[in-house]
Amino acid sequence: MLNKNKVIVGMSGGVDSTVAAYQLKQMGYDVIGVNMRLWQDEFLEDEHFMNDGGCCSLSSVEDARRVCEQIGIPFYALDFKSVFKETVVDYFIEAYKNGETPNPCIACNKHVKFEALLEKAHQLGAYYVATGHYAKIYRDDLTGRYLVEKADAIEKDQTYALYNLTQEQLKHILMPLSAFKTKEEVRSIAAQFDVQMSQKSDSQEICFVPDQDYVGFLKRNGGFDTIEGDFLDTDGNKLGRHQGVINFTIGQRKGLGKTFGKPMYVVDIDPDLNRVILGPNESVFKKELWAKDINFILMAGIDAPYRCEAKIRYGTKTAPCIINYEDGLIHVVFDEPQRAVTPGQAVVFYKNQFLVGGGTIMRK
Amino acid sequence: MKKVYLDYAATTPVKQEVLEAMMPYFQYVGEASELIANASRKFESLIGAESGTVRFNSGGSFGNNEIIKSFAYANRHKGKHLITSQIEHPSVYKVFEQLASEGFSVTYIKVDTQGIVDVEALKSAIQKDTILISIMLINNELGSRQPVEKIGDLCRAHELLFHIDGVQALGNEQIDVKTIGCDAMTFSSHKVYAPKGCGAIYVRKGLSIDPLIASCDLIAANHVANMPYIMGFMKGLESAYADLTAQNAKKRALKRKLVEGLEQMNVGIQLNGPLIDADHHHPGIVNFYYPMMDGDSLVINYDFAGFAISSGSACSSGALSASHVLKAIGLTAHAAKKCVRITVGDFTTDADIDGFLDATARLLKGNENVK
Repeated sequence: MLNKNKVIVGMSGGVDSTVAAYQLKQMGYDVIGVNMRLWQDEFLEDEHFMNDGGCCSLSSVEDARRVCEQIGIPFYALDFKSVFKETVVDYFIEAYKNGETPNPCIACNKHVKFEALLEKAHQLGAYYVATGHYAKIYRDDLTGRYLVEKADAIEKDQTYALYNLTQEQLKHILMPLSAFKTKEEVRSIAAQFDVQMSQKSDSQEICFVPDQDYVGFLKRNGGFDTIEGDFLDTDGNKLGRHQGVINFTIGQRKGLGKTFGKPMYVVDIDPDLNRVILGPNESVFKKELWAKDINFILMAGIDAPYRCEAKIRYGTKTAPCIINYEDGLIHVVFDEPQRAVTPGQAVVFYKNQFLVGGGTIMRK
Repeated sequence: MKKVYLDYAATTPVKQEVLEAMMPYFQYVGEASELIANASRKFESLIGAESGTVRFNSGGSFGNNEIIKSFAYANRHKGKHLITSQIEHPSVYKVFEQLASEGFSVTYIKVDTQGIVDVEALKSAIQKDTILISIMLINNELGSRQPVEKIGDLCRAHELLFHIDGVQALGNEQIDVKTIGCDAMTFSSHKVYAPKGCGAIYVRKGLSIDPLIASCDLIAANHVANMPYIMGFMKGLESAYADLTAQNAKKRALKRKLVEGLEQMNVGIQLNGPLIDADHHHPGIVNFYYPMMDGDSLVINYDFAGFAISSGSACSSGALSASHVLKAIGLTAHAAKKCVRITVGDFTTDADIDGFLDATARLLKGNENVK
């Protein structure tokens, strides 16, 4: 029997997971802290990055161990390297091969934190896995569905990265930080523990590329060669040469490697022909998009056009739209054109504070 | 809750008599050379070695590094081919990886499903330019004893240097370096109920070892030798030898009880490595495959139940990648992650094994709803 009072908390040693574990312990749960070993880049092993940045850094084990001791809960470091490699790193590399811009955090939540870690929790007799995410999860007694709502600390809301969790996964997840209105409240509780407030970043960059050099990462781990290719304008005219498609993402202006006399932005990437299409800012705006690998949370699905709001990347605001199924894909039509619709990123749908669902933006 | 320790292959607690033998030497500043010479002679007589062939150092990993590197570098003019097995301890195989990166070529001999080196494969791996063979005496994850006598014969016939990692064997069998016919052997103190941070190497008369660390000569070094640890090591070793037959019989009986108890649960728990009836393997080490649960989950569950065991070797528990030893005996990477090692030791009692079996039954019962 799984124990509903027992919970495994993924611990990085940072502020959020520390307070999550502490809150659960205060609530009377039987809490076990686990540090997930996810990735080790031999190239970066000696670099300072691996020692004080990112949730899979070498020092995070000792940070997490120390914090668990202070909270008074058992602590274990567990290996998830192979599942992380298969479901996150390989996906990350594959996306770039397809000229897409991946979102590895979403893949990690889906396959590692709330699948592999959840399976481990079940083996340890625990009903729940908990994390320091900012989101509300609860069961709607009327429909029996598990729903996700935006966090009260709205500027920290992380529901975007949770859109593709299944009902079975949501049933076994606790996110105790949902009770907080601001990050400051969380920090003030964390202050009693020996956590490094400033050094631990807010985990928004890619944890397995702590030096931010994802091009170097792809060359080392994905067998990428950066082959020079053409910059074209939207009419197909050659504008110059670029240093390899993996250097670019939709909407990018900086780092094009040359100037064009006027501000130019990446409008599209064609990995097959090794081309990067540039245009003025207005050509980066799109009114519609198609998404695949759809998951719904608020309801089982939709069978008619549905009015809601959508967010096309973690950092942007939601925008009003209508979504509908077309040939098994979701067609999203925005009220107003959206800047930098990027294949590979997630489009996530909201209805007021509720997470409706989402999918992966396709190249179309 | 008092923990029952069943991980003696990882390390052993210091016995009371060992601690007492160490105490006077923490404050001792007198003549050390004589004491160390006596200790070495005692060690030599216990392993059937000639006088002047055993030297103390800082532990097993140091010894393995020192001997293998020294033998390889000193003989590189004769050849650059080295032979070892697929189931060596990291302090051996990582040295070979390092040597391979420096231009040596290395053959890793396969083992059978019981974790025993294939002597025929080893024989046919010997080349004209082979200079060194390094095979462990007893494997630390499976307890399997290697056919070192046969390998010793091969080495003599082909005039090859033969090093043995004897760390897991010391104190668990009557080692005789002459019978085995090896050129060098590595030992560690903390496997014989003596402190960590101390070890010894045997190097056959007539061979020399280039020190890994450049420092004082031997005579001068004796003045600052780690006297209490060397004295503790010797006491631990003498105690082990004094009671070897009885202790081994007791441990083998407990090991058998454990294996039979787990097998009788009929839940698919399987023994990895050597068969329980073969009496020449390690008396206390057993390795099991649990089909229903990952090794790390088992370690944690047993920890909660009050039993200390390990998944894989002590070195891999932190990292927990699938054991190279278990893969070498034919387990898939997936299956190798569902294994644990349990070691019966000098302090293990009948009640400990009963308790472990009860805890296992409770654990697996609680787990029956897990997919």
